[in-house]
Amino acid sequence: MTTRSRISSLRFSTPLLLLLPLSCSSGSDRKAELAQHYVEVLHATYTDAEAGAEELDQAITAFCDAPSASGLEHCREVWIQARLSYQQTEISRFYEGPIDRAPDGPEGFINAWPVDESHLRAIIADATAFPTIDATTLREANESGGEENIATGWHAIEYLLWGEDLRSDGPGERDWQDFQDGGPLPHPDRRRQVLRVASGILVADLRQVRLEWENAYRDEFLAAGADESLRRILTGVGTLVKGELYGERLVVPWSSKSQGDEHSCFADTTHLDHLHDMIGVRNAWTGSFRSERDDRLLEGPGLRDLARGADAARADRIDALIERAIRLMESRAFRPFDQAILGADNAPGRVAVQEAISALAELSTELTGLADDLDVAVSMELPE
Amino acid sequence: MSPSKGGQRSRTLLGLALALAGCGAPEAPEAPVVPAGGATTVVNTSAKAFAQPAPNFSQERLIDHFVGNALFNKNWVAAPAQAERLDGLGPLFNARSCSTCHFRDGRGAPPAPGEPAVALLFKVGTRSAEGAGTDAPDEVYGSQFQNFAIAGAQAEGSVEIDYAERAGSYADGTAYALRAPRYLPAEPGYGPFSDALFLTPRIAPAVFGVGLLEGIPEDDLLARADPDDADGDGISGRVSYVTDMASGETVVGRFGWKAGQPTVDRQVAAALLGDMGISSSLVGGVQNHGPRQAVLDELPTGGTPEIDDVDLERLSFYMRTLGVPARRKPRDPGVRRGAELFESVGCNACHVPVQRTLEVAGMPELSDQSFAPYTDLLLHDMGDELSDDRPEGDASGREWRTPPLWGIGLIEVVNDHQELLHDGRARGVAEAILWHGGEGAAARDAFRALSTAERADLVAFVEDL
Repeated sequence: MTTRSRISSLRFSTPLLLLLPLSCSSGSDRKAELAQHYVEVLHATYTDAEAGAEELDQAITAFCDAPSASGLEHCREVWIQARLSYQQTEISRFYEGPIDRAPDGPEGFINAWPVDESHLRAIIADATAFPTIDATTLREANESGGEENIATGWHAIEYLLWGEDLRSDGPGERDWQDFQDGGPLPHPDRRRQVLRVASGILVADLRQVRLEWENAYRDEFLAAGADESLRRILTGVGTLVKGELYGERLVVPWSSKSQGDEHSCFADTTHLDHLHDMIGVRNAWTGSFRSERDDRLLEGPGLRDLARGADAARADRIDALIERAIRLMESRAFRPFDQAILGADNAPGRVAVQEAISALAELSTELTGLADDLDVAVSMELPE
Repeated sequence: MSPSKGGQRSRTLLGLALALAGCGAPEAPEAPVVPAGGATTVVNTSAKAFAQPAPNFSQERLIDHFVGNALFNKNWVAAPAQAERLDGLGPLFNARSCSTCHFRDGRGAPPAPGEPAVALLFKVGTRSAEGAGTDAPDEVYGSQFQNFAIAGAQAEGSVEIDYAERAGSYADGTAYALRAPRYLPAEPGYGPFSDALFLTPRIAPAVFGVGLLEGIPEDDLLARADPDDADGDGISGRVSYVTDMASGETVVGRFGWKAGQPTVDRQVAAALLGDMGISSSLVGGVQNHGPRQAVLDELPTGGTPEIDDVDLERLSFYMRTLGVPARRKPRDPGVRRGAELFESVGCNACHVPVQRTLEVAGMPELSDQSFAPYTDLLLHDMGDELSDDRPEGDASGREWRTPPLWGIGLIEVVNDHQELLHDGRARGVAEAILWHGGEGAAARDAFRALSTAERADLVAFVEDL
């Protein structure tokens, strides 16, 4: 398979980069080396995410062809595993790269949330409004009539695989027979069809993004100039930390105590989403990427190398904050996340989430400072 | 960090950004372009360009912004429901969530043929015995037409929309076409429509920047008003005086197509009630149906009020703290020519480029800002063609509040259309200008007299906002 050869070529290129003595190269060269390695890391991460989605698609196809309890369980396991890679790609959002560039960046088809499950239920039940269920109709139905009306992507599939999470001690308990003709719910055929189509869309969209990171966008990114590449890298990491992870994924559920505000509310894997977003941040920061699929390792320059040259104390603080956030997200208190956010503010879960929120607030201040140190005008700054 | 220090840092960065960008010959110095949202300006040209938090708010200050954002996107459900915080939809409604119509905090469009109207809602007007349009509520259908209802209730009806194409031509002979809409109520849910009843459309506008608009000193609005056209320039903007829904006092209106609401929280409360059927303390906990729809009284509500004051304030705070998208290419030669034409044609008489805030209580980030909304927030007579024949508060049927133009060029990116004016009848900037009448007629005629290249420059300028 072509993936293998690509990986080995990456392995050759990485030591070469490491041989370059960072301290002796000019600032511009160091930024160029950082950009070069960053595209390798993003390409590898998307390659893993796409491979995970393909594996999921195969599992879903097999399950829909012959529904069974073990088939559904297998789909769920593959979904959870595939998400670990996908979340690490989220550092490449927010600077109008292949994932979210207007007008055709597919992010909204891939990872939109939260899901109002009644929208998917309506699509499945309403054969008049949705006589055929194919990629076109499902894409049209996605975000139709509201930002929670999600019909495609990881979280639509998550709802289909798990169903509503009504338990305090575990995820949703969808009955595999919901997908079987003659099962307890009406429209098993349409439910299977939505699942198959959504899964196919996910593979197609991730492939499109991976190919861009392999070819056109990779070239454009590297040709954009070292400062522009650095601006994008910092914008992606900074916005993920400041807006998405801090705000939408932690502050909102912490504040509302509502399961409906957690990222993967059906599968109860929200803590893994947070953790692997942060691991993506760490990948860009340290330059070290370890595959979730085959343990392969890519090493090269990271933002940290530039940061140390500008302000070593700040670099140490960022190091510590990233590790602190990761340790909290790995901790027992963080899961299941829908329980962690409940209770009094001194309950272990809420303390842990609050500490992670504080760490990310500090981290985002430090990243803004880093952008200043490196003379990069990240997207939050004023234009003329 | 103090605002002034932030400003200095930003200017330094900006110099660097320009240095990075400037590969060509250095340009002659010129007056700086006022950033669209002052210190709240966001550089973002993606589909989420309207949905970014203002960059000058601290992480801690943005907590309510993020919570408000989640609430803005939430689908409300009929009561009673497990999600108690979000129950109370309807019984009559136009939309289940704020984001249904203000998708990605942006602008709605009229429905495609055969589709139900979603982001285009209709106010109900009634005609007097003499045939004059009034905003007196219809005794059955009230003052807003809701085309959806929760289970167990009947929608008020649907709306048939027809467009008649109308041909015209510019002074240089280039042809154009406008589409003139007609709106008829259909499928009555609560008995036949009275002959006196008529509908008037309102498209959902983008919601960013409203904190700045709210902060423009009242004296600045009054200073621009010229109700009797004392200066004889043909422009007679009026301040909209409205009755505050909570206090009953007469106050200056700023929000809504006819400046019917004075503040963001009042606008939010009015939209929650009228569009979604969500009661709040500001509207006294009342529901959005009338005495002749008593069958709806039997249905459970989501409490009194259905949204609490904390969540109501979060929604308002969310919109006040959205960043305003930066212009994309203010230095482009065609755009700069267009900016000059915008002035010489006279658009800026009402679409006033620059406004300011002084101290905004509780909002240091919005205080002492210069920004560029391109509105005077005043009511102007826009002529018969745009008249909806329905007065609202202080505004006559012919009068509309000057809508801000900031972000107009990004609607295409965010919302995938460019359908402008209060009902989305204009397909792009040029058609919107051509629909101007009344006080806008002179500017419209001046636009029609421009050459093709000049018109393209003017449109390019507006689309850069």
